[in-house]
Amino acid sequence: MSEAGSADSSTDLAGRWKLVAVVRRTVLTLLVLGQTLAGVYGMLSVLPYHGGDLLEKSIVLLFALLFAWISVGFWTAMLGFYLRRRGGDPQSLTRRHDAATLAATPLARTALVLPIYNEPVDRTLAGLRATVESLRDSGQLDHFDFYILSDSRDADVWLAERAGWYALCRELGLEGRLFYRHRPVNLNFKSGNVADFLRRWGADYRYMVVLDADSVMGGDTLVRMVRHMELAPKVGILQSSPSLINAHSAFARFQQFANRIYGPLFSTGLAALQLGEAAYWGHNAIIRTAPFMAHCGLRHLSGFGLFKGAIMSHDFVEAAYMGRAGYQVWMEPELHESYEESPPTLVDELTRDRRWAKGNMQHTWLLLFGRRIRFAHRMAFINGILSYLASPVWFVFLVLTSIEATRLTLWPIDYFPNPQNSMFPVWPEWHPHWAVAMILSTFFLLFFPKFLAVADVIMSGRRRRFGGFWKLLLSMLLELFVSMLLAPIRMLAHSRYVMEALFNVSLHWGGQNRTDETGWAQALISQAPGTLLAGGWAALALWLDPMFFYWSLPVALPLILAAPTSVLLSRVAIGEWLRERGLLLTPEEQRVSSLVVAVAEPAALNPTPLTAFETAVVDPRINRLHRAQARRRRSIDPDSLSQWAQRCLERGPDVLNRFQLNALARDADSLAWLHRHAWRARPEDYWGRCIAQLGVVARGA
Amino acid sequence: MPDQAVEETLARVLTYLRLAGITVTPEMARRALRMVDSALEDGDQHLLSRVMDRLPDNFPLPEETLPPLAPPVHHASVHYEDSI
Repeated sequence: MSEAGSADSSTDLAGRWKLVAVVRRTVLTLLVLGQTLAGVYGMLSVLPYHGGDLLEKSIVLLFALLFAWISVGFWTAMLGFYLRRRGGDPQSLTRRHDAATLAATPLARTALVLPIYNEPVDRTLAGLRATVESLRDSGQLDHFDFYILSDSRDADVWLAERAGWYALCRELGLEGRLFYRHRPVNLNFKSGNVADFLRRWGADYRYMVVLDADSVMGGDTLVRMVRHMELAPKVGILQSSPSLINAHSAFARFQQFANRIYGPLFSTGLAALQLGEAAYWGHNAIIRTAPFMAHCGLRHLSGFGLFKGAIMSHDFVEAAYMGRAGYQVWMEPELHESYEESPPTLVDELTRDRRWAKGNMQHTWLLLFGRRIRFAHRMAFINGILSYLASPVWFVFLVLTSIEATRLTLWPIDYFPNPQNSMFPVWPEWHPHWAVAMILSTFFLLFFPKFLAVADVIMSGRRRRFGGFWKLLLSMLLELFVSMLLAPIRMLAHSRYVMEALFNVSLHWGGQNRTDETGWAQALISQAPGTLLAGGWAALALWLDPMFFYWSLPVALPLILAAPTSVLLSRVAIGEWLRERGLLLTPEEQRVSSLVVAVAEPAALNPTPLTAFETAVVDPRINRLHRAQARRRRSIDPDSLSQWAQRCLERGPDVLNRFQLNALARDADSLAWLHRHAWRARPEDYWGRCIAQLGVVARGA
Repeated sequence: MPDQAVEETLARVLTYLRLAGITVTPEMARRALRMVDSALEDGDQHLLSRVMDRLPDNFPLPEETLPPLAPPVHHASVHYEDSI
């Protein structure tokens, strides 16, 4: 179906969504405003001087911002629940066409692109393999090509990727359909990698599906997405809502459970509010390549500090540019079989959040100065910014309330907080029951959607997929407890990341753990500032007033316990212990699909005891592969290459730095020379020992 | 010439053949042994090097067709609006 000739058969629906979006967003705004005003009124009643001085005005202002923020989440979940109970959103893009129309829609050439950067090779390619196999099962594999787009900088990683690509081509019979591109210079992060693909091969495909390193997608889902795009030519991006799978550590299993239980409610609500002006999340989405290439090039920002240079979080901006060009962006929670993985530990999640915080704060520039960007996409920028900015706001709010408590205890009562406005004294009042009511209403906004999500599971008859009613309920309560433990830790970390981003600096508190589980020493060091801060704050609160101490505990205690929380949640044994007892179960863990199995324990594509560089030198077939793909043009002085190769031959690759190893690995003559001489090395030499190790594997095979 | 060196040289040849994708049959092993034996006739200095030099002539290595790393490039542009 050509784009010009494919009139959108659902023009009425396509036009009506805008009106529905306006109505829904207006209602949401009124609800949030009304609720926030009520909250502000309650807060004014709670404060001793009723907002009568600058300190209390500041507290009320920050409270209003935070209350509005959680109120948006609350009403989004309410809308999601309502629509799910009605059987889905009638405005959804995926409901415009019946199954017969979809099945009769021819497919168009589509590229699946997998941008990667120093990722675990076997796991990454296992996800791609599963996606390919699923497409093969759908009978539509011929319409798709596959591109591994590597920005990896370590020779050991990109050599393994290339060898893995070769093995996968042979295994899947995808020679000439599965490609590998290693960018020599990785300009402009991931978006630059995708742009590099588009400049070379984008014109060959009507669509591209962008995957993440941990993505897996079902073939039927991909086929459905292409067909929806064919039927709606004004849709520029169609985003699926990925579910988390393959969690093992306790932390990952809590995230996976939360994603699977609460995710549908929030994503349905969010999609219903955004409709054709949704955000793009950077992966597990299909993109119409021609308008993307025509309108979504990312200019460098021209501001200062953080706001100068390449755009780091590209996806929201690309969605906004698609919208600016007149194309729609849809997020469809009903597109199933779209998966990704959770970071295994809190440390890994916070490492990721550090990047995301910076990227989202950078969007402030586009929010303020981006031209002709749709209002809804500006709101998406605000949503992303507030996801991180809410943390320092909460932090400052806690600081101000502590000052307020200190003032009330230590300072003399100020009967005239506003002397210019009043001749009458103001007696400070303290109503603990109102404060309790405020806290309870805040907790209600935060936690009621979680109970509603469980209700949705039960009402839709899916409770057995989550372990049954009681285990589901217990899992939810456990998740609630853990999320309360994690919230202050995330708050403090995000506050730091926002400050780092805004001042364009990097503040290091301690080493970061990059292994599968978090060690005690590292956790104690990295969480020490938060623990000390919280301990000091709690001690101050206790000294001031025991009542204030009790109020501080929900925030202070999780920070004091941050190190053990981080360590214990990183443990795979605890995650598995919970699984064995039927807790935190998800449907994917119970009815394991081939997609999930494929990535659960990925088989090694090139089983070898050697590193990828050593294998590239020793293994005749792999050496030939890398030589064939290596550069003929030498950009490095041949004498230097010879010296490095000689050192590598005598003492092994560990004596070379990353630049030197990359240079040798990219040079065909050096690879050939090393291969030839390594096989002539004495058995007791470095390369002789490597050959002996590989020989054991070869004999076993 | 110690026997150990001969054994190691033969083992090296067989390992190379296996890794190159050749199935080592008894006949192959005998040919490898003959190659080592022939190299020994020229002296025992640098035996391993001389045997490895002779290996391609004695055992034609399979040349698997490598898949294309990338399809032909069709250059196109990514456009940038005048403003952010």
